[in-house]
Amino acid sequence: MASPYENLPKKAYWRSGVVDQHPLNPVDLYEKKFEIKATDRIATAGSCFAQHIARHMRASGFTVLDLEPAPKGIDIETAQKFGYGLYSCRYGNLYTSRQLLQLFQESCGKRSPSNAVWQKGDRFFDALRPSVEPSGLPSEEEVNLHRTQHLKHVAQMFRDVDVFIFTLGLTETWEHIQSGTVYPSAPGVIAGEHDPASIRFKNLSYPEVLEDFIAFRDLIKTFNPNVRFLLTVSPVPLTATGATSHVLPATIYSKSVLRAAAGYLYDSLADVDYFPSYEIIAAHPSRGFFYENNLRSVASQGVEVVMRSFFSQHKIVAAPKVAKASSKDVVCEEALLEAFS
Amino acid sequence: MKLCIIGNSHLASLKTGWDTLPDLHSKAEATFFGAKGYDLKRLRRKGTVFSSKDPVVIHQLQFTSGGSKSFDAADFDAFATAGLYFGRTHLIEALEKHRVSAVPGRSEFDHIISDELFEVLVRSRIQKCLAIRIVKLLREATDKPIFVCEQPLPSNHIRKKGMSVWRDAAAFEKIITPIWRDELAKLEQQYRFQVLEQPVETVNQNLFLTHHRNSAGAIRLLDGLNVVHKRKEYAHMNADYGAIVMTEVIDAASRGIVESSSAIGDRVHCPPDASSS
Repeated sequence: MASPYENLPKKAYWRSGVVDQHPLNPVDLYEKKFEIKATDRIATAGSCFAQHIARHMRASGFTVLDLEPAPKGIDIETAQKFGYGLYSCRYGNLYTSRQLLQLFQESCGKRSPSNAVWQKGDRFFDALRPSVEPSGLPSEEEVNLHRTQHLKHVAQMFRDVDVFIFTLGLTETWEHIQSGTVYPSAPGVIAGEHDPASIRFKNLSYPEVLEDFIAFRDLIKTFNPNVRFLLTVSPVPLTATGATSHVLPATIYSKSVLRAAAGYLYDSLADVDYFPSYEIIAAHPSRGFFYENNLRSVASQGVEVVMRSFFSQHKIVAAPKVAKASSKDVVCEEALLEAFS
Repeated sequence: MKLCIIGNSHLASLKTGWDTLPDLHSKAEATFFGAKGYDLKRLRRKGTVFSSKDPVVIHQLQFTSGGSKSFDAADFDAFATAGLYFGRTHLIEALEKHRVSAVPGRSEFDHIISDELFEVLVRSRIQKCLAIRIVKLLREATDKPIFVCEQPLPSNHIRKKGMSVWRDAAAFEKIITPIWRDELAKLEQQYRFQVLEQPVETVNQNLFLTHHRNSAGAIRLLDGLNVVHKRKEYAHMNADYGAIVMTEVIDAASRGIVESSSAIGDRVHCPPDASSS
């Protein structure tokens, strides 16, 4: 019997698939599992990097849902500061699979979060999306009112979506010990105070990430049986780790867990596609070229290469209108941890 | 006194109103320069002369002014703007889908916004409106008095359209007007202009909408100024309304020119030639 490695396509060999390729123009790196039509309603969520995907897809003529648009008359920068236009709803960054699952459960009345309002001075913040009101709100009741309105749109989004694009960002999170409610940032970063007796650090494991996503998928299918999923892993490293290890191995661990979970979901579920933006940016053949000087933020050139690779499979249906964006155009509360270094 | 009145479709009301005020014509000479909607975004300044490269705008400037393709700010004693998205009408419209929790109104809405964002929204809409853009352009060319007339509120018959945002206009006015006046005070100081709010007698204060009698028979800003707006058009006002506003403009300009000449000393100011957009 001949070797199973004989006569494979070029992409299967390191030399022809990687060494001979220009990092700015990766070929055959991604092959779509399913078509995304211009009329498919796309929703996006995830960590900071997902904001780039949403913006480019919208500018390229895809139907990207925006259930919570900014009021007309404020500029884009201000809108983004208040959490508008970043994703399909105003939920801010959903860094973890657990956040995604809990948000969906809450939106369909199957979960009620604990310790969901944090205080800073005389202002109150939605602990589950603390960055969307930069100065907070005047009362706890006001936060709850805003959240109730927000959840209606989230529920609508999950009912309407045809293709849900989710960027897995982190495994590390902060968890309310008694209820399991997880938060996008630790108390004390934007608002609230850290109380180790009620909130603890949690690093999601590979089985937990899988279980979260499968539970999310099972639940959404009961409302929206035809929805499909496109997963990516964010190439943005941790700003800081809450684990005891060094931030570099903590980052590699986190990304490895997420990448492995995305791989398993892609291999085992026909309605889950995986797009390798993480590999394009973070893998060593690109020699770190796509990162800004802080070796963390993804430079606009990197985003361009990622999106070009994506659109090589999902053809652009309109002339691109997107302006070149820098890493500063991405709203990322996790980056606030830099202030603690 | 030579007045230059600049506006969009709302200019038709002031022009037709002015034509009904022959007694004032001995006191002032008014020339109107207008273009519909946002078309005056394409008005450009070179020195003290204002014109456009856009043939559509030029045509409108011609028929509103009686033949001029451009105007020279040095030829006028005072300026006024009409419409151009300046007014509480456009601030209330911003609440069509977004509301603050303290005043949600009775009509349907989609989103709650914070007081902080609401204030940002109101100030931003004022700062960016076309009238303020024109004021800035004029101020680059002249120190003469500038009056900014508030775009009228819609006719109260707009409420017949159903549960629109206009059913709550009176409630929204209470949260909008304090921010509106505060923002205008800053802008007035910075660009030295004076706001002429919608004449009180034209406003149904209970509804914060314009009396229908000031709207019926409004004329469209089309060549000839003789086409009446369709019956269910609520945004534009008639000649009676225009006459009230023009009387206020003449009155304010008469006072403004006296104040301006005593304050500035030399009313004639010609900045160096410059292209500006």
